[in-house]
Parts: sequence; structure tokens; C-alpha cells
Amino acid sequence: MTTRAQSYANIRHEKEKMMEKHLHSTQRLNAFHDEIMKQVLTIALHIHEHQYGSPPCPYSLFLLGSAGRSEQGTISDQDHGIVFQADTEEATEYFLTLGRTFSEGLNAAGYPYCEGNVMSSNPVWCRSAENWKQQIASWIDSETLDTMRSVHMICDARVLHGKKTPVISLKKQISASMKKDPHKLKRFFENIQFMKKSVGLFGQIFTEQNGSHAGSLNLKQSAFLPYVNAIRVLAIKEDIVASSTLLRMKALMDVPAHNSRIQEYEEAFRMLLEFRLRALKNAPDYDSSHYINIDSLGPVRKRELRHILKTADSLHHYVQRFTAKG
Amino acid sequence: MEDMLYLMNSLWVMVSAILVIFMIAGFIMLEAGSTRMKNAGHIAGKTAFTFGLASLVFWAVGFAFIFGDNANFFVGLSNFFYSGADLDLGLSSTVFFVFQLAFAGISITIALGGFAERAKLSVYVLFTILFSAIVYPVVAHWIWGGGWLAEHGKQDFAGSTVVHLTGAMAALAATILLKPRIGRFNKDGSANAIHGHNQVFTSLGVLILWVGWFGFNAGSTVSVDAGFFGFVALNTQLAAGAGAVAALIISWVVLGKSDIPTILNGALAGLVAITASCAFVNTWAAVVIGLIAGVLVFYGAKWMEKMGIDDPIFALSVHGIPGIWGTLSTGFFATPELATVGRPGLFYGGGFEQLGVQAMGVFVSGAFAFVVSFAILFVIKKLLGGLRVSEEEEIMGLDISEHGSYGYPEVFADTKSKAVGDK
Repeated sequence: MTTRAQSYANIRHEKEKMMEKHLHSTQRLNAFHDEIMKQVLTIALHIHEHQYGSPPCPYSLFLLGSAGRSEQGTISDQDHGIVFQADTEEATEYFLTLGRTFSEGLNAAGYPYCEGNVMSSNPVWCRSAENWKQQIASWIDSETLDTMRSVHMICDARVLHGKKTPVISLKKQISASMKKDPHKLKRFFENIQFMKKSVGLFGQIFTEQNGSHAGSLNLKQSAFLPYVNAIRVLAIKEDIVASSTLLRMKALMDVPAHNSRIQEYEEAFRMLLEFRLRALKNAPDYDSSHYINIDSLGPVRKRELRHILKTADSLHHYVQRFTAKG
Repeated sequence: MEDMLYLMNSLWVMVSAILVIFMIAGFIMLEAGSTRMKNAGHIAGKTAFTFGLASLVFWAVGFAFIFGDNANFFVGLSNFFYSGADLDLGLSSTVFFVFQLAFAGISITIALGGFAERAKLSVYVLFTILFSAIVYPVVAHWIWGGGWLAEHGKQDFAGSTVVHLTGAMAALAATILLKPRIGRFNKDGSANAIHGHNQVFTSLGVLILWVGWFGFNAGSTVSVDAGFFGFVALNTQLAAGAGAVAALIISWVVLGKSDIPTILNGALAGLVAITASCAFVNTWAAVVIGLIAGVLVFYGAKWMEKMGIDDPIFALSVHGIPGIWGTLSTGFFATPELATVGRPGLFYGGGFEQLGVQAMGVFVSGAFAFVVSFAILFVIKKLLGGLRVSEEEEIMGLDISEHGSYGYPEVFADTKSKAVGDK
């Protein structure tokens, strides 16, 4: 018991010590996060197998959310799920327990529990391949905002441990359903349709009016998520299984219908990633890392930011038109 | 025929007086809606109470100070404890008294808006008496009671300066001495929004004030002569509409969203601004005056926030800044035909003379109201050992701390038993 707690604490300690060195690129930072999570999983597996024996069948453990997209900042909460082969009660029980052990480990290592309970310790996110298939079909079928949100979540899945194919086939299933029924694609887009307006008619940037971030722009809400969401919709429409926004953009450039437009969006998105890294480095805490104080920017940076925001808006409309067409 | 006119005048002004008194209902809705549930009963109840108290003070000394004979520089000195005696005014003197009483009541209500959610009830009581006795009557005497500003031809038809600015300057003194409510500003000076608990109340409050304003402005003709009150009402309506429109546009442009409190404040700002000028300017000018007021109220509120001043119900940005603008506006827009008091404005060949008079009037009246209110509150502070309820009481809410019962009992049922248990 002590050793286990110690091991997680060591990982956490190591993580906090080394984080600084990996802050210079989003890619490096996320490779580092992956490394840490794999260490946690190794310990969790060790504990779990010691008690319950070897896995009853092959399985894949995947990350969701920003971790799935390889777009984590310094601190994020955990989002993950499991897909396993055998559709038996025994297997379900086994992997749910594994999910719980893993998620406790992540928490101990400094990745707080997911508030929305998107974790493999939750039966919703820990299923057999067959069960996942039915669940996704039913989510798409009921097409409520809630179920479509779950579909969005799955699109960002990336395998941390195990084979990639089970997760890929889930994404293929989503793409196929959207292709079959363009109305579903429209619903898929509607889920992310609300976008906080951040640039005005005269190019003025709308900042927070109140609170300790007054005068700042919420970069995550106003810029980051609009790009991520819109590109996810395009990727699903074009049957692209990549999870990260940059990889999706890269794949979209090979699609004739989009290649003329994507480059502009990609440039702006890279600029945004750079903005975010800089904000991340200077931020005193996690909450502040999402905010950019407009007045602290020089004229060039301000122009860049305005360009990023306007391009996000244009991308959003582009995708909207595209999904409306079916 | 003369009798007929006397009766008609009396009737019209009585109707107007009732409309103005009904504005207190508007303030109750507006203030309660713009503040939190835990203070709702207190805010509503004290507003009704202070109006009652101010009426007695007005009867005892206020009316005499404003309109009495044997005046010195500050006040008149006859008709204390007004008996209802006829003063030969072309309408029933008692009706005129009630009409004027209503104005005094509005001014103190505006002033007390600046105290919201943190002042002790005893401070409300003492300040109501002293403001109604020595602050409001002096400014009203200067401008409406034949005082020195009246002699200069100061134009303030229905009281942008007399009623609104005077009230707002007292509110300013209060907000400075009271300091911001708990949680309004962060350590680094950034502001937090403390949202009002009911925008429907606030909107209804604004509409009640808006309707009441026809008594306020159009009634200030104090006569039905030539039906001129209709023209005054027309200008009033235009400015209110323009204020709301301008406020919506400016908040939309600056914030990216059309902010409801700003829109409501815009309508009020247009009304406050046109109050001085409603009888002196053309209709197009009323629109311009309202539009400018709607923009001013938006930036005024931002400015107050930046200065670290907590103005919970926008007394300063709605009644203060537009009050100043409205008073100055006649110096620009008063037309030769309509300027029955003073001279035409800058845009009508009157040069800077009237504008100068207006500016002087605003400055002196505003400064007087601020300094005397500040002094009164300073003395009250020493006397009572502070103007503010304790931190615990403020968090608990003034409903329970000052009055012992809640405006919304069901909401606070648990808190109540806890609060009582703590004691």
C-alpha cells in the first residue's frame, strides 16, 4: 500500500519537476504527459493484475478530450475510456475495476478526476467493442445535444495502450453514419454552433468585463475551442481518424474540397498555439493560463490575435455552410 | 374663465403630483431588482419609509426654505409648517405644495440609492432628515425659488440639476464614505459584477419611472396654458427612446452583447437629461440630447467602476452625469422662442452666455450638494460610530440584520435558522 502511494507520488513529483523543460512546444509537452500517464498505467496494471489476474481479452485504453487531441496544457483533468473485445460480464467487471485503479492513480499523480465523469471507471466509457458500436449508433440515433456531445468526445479518442484498430473502427462508424444521413452531420455541427463573439464590427476585441480577468480574452473559449470543434466536424465528415487538430488539418489538405481553405486556417491555428504556450509560461496558475490581457499586447501581437479570432469566425462559418449543404 | 383656468391648472398639477409620487414605486422596483434578494425587503420598505419621512420634513421646513419670503442667500424664511394658506399662484397652493413635495421625495430617493446594500437603517433616517432640510431646499431655492441662479436665468425646467444632480451628488458622497460592498472589487482593483436579482423588476421599475416622468416634466408647466404640456411630454418621450437606443447600440458595439441593465439605464439617462431642457428645445434636439445621454450612462458606469466607486443602482451614472449633460444641453439647444427663462443656446445665436450660466449652475449646485452631504454623513459617521452595518450583517443581508424578516423568506429559511443560531 505504501509503496503504491509512494510510486504515484514519485511520478507526480517527477512530473512537476520536469514540466518546465517540456513547455517549449505543444508536441513535447504532450509527449511528456503521455509518458507520465503510461507510467501510471504500468503501476495500475501491476496492482490490478496482482489481484485479478491477466486481462480476459485484448483491450485498448484511450485518452479523450485535450489529452486525446494531444493538446493538453500544463494541468488538465483526466478523460479516458476503454474498449475491450469480449462481450462478457466478467470482462466488463474486470475492465471497470482496472479503470478505477487507473483513474485513482492518475488522480494521485496530479491529474484530477473528470468532473463530467468521463473516465474508464464509469460504465458509460468502458465497454466491449460490440457494446460501443451499439451505444454510438444509439447516441447518433437520438441526436440530442447531450448524446451528440458524447459522439464529439469519442472523435477525439487516442489510444494510449493497446491496439488502435478498435478505436479507429468506432470513428469510422461515426463518419459512415454521418455520410449516410447528412441531417446527422448537421446535428453534429449544431452541438458546437454556439460561439462566443470575440471580435466586433470595428475589429474591437471583446474582453471579460468583470472579475480578476477583466480586460482579458478567454483564449480557450474564444479561439481554441472554435478551431478544435470546427476542424473535428470537418474531419468526421471526411472520414479522417486522426485526433489532433493539426493532424486533422494536415489530412484535410489532401481533400480537394478543402485544400484551398485549410492552409489559412492552419497558419492561424499554429499562431494560436504559440500564443497559448507563451500565456502558459507566464501564467501564475491554470485558470490564468487561458487568459490574454489585451492591453499587455503590442500592436503587432494584437493584430495577430485579431487575425486569429477573425479566422476562427471564418472557419466556423465555412464549416457551417459545408454541413448545411450535406 | 379665470376660475376655470385655476381649476384646470390645479387638476393637472394634482394629477402630475400623483404621477411623480408614483415614481417612488418605480424606484422600489428598480432598486430592489438591481440588488440581491437578501436585501430586497429592506430596500423596498425603506424607500417607502424615507419618502414618508421626507414629506414631513418638507412640510416643516423644506417648502419654506425653497419658496418662502424674506430670503437670505441660501433660503427663504416664511411658511414653515405650511398651513395650506393661499399663496396666489394661479393654481391651488396646496396642489403646488404636494407637487413640490413629490420632487423633494424623488431627490432623497435618488441620493439613498448610493447607500444600497450596506448602510445602517439609522443612517437612512438621519440623512433623509438632514438632506431634505438643508441640501435639497438650498439648490431648489437657488434655481426655482427666486434665488441667485434664477436671477442669472439658469434653465432647469423640471430639475436635471435641482432633483437629479443634487440627489446623485449626495449618493456620491455616500458611496465614497461607505466604501464598496463586500466582494465588489478584488485586491488588484479589478471589479466583480454583483448582479441584481430580478431584471423584470428593474425593467418594470424603469417603465414606472418613465410614465411618472410625464408628471415630472409635463407637470412642471404647472399650468394647462395653451396645452404646452403636450410639447414637453413629446420631448420627454423622444429623449427616453433615444437614450435606450443609444445605450443598446453602444453596449452592443463595446461588449459584443446588448446589455439589459445598460439599455434600461439608457432610457433613464435620456429622461434625466431632457428634464432640464424639455420645455426649451426642439424635438430633434430632444433626440440628440437623449442619444448622448445613452452613451454617457454607459461610459459613466464604467468610469465609476474604474475609480473604485461602488454604485449599486447606478445613481451616479444615471442621475449624475446625464443630469449635468441635460443641464448643459439647454446652453446649446435652447431656442429663442422657447427660452422663456434665460437666453437661447449656443446653436441659436445665444453665444456662450447661457452655456456659461448653465455650467456655473451645475458646478455650484453639484459642489454644494456634495460638500454638504459629505459633511452631514461625516458627522453621522462619528455620531453612530460608522455608517455601515457589520461585515457579518452585510453578508447575512439587511432584511434580517436590520428588520428581522426576509423579503423572500422561503429562499432564506435555512440561512435564517443558522444566522439566528449563530447569535
